[in-house]
Amino acid sequence: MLARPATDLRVAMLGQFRVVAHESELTLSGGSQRLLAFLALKSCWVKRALVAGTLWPDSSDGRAHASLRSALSRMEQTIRESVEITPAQLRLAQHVAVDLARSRALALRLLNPTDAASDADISPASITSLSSDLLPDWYDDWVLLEIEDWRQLRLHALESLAGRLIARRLFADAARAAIAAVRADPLRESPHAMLMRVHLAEGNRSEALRIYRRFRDLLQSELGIPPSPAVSALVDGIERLQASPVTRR
Amino acid sequence: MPIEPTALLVIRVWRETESAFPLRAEIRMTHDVSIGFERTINAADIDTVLRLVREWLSEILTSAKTI
Repeated sequence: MLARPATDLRVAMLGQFRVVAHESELTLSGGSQRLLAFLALKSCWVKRALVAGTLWPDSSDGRAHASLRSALSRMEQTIRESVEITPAQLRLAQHVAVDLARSRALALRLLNPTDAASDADISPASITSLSSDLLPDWYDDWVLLEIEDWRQLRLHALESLAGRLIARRLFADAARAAIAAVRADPLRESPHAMLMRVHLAEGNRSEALRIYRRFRDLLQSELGIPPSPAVSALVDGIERLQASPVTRR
Repeated sequence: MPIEPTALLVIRVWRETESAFPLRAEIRMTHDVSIGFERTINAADIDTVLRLVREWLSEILTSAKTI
């Protein structure tokens, strides 16, 4: 028998795990947090056995199922009524808003070359939606892959967003998007290249060169290697120009 | 009675195909997952990654936590 939802609920998993109902943040036990986060990540019906086995991997089947029943029974009423339960399956009720789901959908729209992203998608608000890691202080096995998957998705979406903002000549926002991508993965070449392209598109060659030199120094100190030729080529002409003597007529 | 924490090491690898050194690895590690990642080290060659993993495993085997 399905439990009927009684109230609106928002689950936030980007940046920090929070559950909000009627604009008030709720306090949950550790077990309830993990259960809610797991269901929010799955966004579909999940077998009880899978939930129990995943969240309590070191327990026997019987104890894991008992732990799941206990976590469900200890849930505050407001939250428990947002989990749909059958004898065999669980899922988060469809009306529960999950920030990861919205941000993931945004990222996929930005990465779809055939999908004309809306004006709302190509905006500073989108940069914010794509700037936070998923559950940053969580280390459960079932979370780690999701964390890495989101990290890659948001990185590429931020780069795509920066490119679209350049096309609209919104250089300040494009720089913000590219910087967010750099922060997401400081040793990856493509976000630094994108940031350099933003400055070059704006005609700010000295800033592009500064970004390049900073990245070059970072790679040298962390890995002992130079940037790729493709990245270096973005500023080759600028470095040569700066190195040559100025001739005044 | 010895209590053994769970250690965790995550290696994230990608390729920079335009680079002469295409391997990039970010290695995050901890001796106790309950306190989170303690160290992050980056590497651009296989031997360094293997050395770091070997050292981490050796550290775990030689340490023990007792209450």
